[in-house]
Amino acid sequence: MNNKNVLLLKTLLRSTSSFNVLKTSKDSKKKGKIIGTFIAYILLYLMLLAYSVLMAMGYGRAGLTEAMPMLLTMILTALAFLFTLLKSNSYLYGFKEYDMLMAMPFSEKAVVGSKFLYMYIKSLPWYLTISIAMLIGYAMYAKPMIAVYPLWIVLSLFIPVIPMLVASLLSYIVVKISAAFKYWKAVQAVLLFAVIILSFFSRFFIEKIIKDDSIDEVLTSTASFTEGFEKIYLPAKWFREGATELKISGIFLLVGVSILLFELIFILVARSYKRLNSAMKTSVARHAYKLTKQKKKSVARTMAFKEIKRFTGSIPYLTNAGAGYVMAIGVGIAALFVGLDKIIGTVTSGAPVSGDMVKVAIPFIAYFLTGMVALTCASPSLEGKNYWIIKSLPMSYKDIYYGKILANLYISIPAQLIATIGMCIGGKCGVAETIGYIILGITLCVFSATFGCECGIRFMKLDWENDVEVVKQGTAVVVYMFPNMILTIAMLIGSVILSMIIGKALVIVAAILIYCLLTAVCMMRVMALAKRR
Amino acid sequence: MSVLTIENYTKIYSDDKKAADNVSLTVESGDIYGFIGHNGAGKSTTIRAIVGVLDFTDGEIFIDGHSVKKEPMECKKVTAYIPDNPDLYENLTGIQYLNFVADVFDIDAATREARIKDYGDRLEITEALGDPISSYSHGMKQKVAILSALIHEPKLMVMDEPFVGLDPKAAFMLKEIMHEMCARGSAVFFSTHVLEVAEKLCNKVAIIKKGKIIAQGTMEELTGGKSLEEVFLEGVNE
Repeated sequence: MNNKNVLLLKTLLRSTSSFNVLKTSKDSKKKGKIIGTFIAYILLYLMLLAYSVLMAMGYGRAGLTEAMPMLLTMILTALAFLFTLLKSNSYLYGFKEYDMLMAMPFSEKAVVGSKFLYMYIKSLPWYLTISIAMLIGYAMYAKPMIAVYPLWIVLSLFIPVIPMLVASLLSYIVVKISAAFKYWKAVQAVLLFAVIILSFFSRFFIEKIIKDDSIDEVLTSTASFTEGFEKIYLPAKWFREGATELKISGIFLLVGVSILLFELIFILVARSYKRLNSAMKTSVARHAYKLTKQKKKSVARTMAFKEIKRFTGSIPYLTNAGAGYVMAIGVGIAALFVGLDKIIGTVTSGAPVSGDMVKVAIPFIAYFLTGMVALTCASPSLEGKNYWIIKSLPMSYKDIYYGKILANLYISIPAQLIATIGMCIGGKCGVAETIGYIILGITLCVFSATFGCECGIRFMKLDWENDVEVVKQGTAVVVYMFPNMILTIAMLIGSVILSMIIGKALVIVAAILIYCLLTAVCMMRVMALAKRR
Repeated sequence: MSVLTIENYTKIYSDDKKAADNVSLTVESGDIYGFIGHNGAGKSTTIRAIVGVLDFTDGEIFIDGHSVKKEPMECKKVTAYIPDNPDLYENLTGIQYLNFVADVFDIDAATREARIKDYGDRLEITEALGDPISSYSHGMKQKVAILSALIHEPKLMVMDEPFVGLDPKAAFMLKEIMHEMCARGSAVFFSTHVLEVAEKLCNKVAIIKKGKIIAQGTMEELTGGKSLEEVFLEGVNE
């Protein structure tokens, strides 16, 4: 990297750093908000660290100490690949300051390479937290040499590079294919969804390859699991050899291949970078509209329409928030053909549960996908610089947020219904039972939209550069996701256990009542927060 | 001496719509060249192609003798671009942004200080340079973008609607700066909707309609005693 590339990378990091604003801003309210967000992130990192240390200790106790380097590689690889796939598109192409940078004396490779490194550095704290936690667990059980500690940390910084590069390459292929089409946004969204879903389900295929390789061993066997993964993913072997066996070859291979791949991929991307961005940054206007009969809608419905157009018009928003809905629909359709047992068997990797035991969990399984992200978490912040439009129009705060909740429901309820009905038919549930699951599913969707809205308003951030900052990295999304996920898992397990004691019907009614109550509480908070805004 | 030469520049979108069709023009050293046309006529597309942001289907663009397609870095080193709605790094302060641009163009500390002081004072933005750009108004951002464009004394300054959002004093200063640049041998190429400004400021003008140049030349050649507004309306209404 030459000096100008370093300068560009430094400026990119500085330009999105809250510390710079903290240092230079005179706005005390803004400073307070930055400090609050910083503390929230520290707490999140500590929670992740504690969780990961416990996980590593669990592996150690289970006799998987030797497999820990490989497990770390596996976790970081999966996270880096999936997260990059979801965000690289908007980080690398068609970004806001593209014109400004491209008009300066920077090469295409310098611009796209710096953007990649920026994306990598921004996600490093998450990966480093997991790496440190795994090292603590490893150190407790393996008692390694002193040299292992720095090497583990340094080499683990390279683990996410290769999966991130592969994801960026996939993203480049998607952009390149879609750029040739007139409706490139639609093509790009479809291709991205396909890649995301394939990547998500590839986990099962990889597991199968690893399992098939071992003859008598089960998944928990350290040797077979390590060997299996290392066979299909060499960087895992290089990391293990470099970090724990201090083999120079492992160190050189991991670092060297990462750098070489970076160079090769960005030479390739840079060759058509301007052409791809030209296609993405220019919009074709047909100028052929003829005014026809217009319809009047209620304020909430017209707000909902605006929200849906915002959702479908932004690829990062659509792919990040929409992946769960598409997967829910996929699961519903798949259940029709392969049955509920097969789906549950695949998800639980052959754990001793039968379809009948978990039928009561159907709405929660569907909700796990449809409620993974709520559009309402992001939609208040996504108003961004357009916030003045809704604020200056004569509409009440109630209509604004009812509209946002309604838009969320227009999208989440159909996906929830398809998934639930598909699984009910696949699981041969009775009509009354299916109706119960449908009502519970709808209640869950309403709760998700309302709770999401509460988080969205509470952590509203209007000054952002890229949709991804709100949709993927926004505090509102993180604050929504964790409690919602924990509550869903608790309700899922609780429902399965309770249904065996008090029966499914009572469990469904109780769950509906609990979620109605939670929704009412969230709605009151939404209105109180909205009034203050 | 030609600073900017556009030869048969054509830009076709994926649906075969032509955003620019066989555009040719030449901007000489010392020219203040106005580029006028309706909304959606192809002004911004052409400007973005000149500064190397947008690729194009056919033709060639040369800046100071270098091809934008083949030697983009050479072109960018002598060009400055001010977009109509500058997207600057919002979390940087004005001075941090200006230093970034000065570093990119390798401007030594003493020169950058002198230029920031001179242009900053004239545009009345110096005192705000310590604040984050996110706290600036549209006009202030525009002033910082202008200042950053002047920091390396470009041979060619390309501007898209540069007067939008500027207060009257800053607009006056910008016109003065444009004249000074041209007196030094640089050239200015800018788009505008304000025909009075173009008429008073420019020595050359091109009118673009649906991607095609329908008239171009020196102001005298083009107007021939009429006002630029009349010439423009006659051209676009044909």
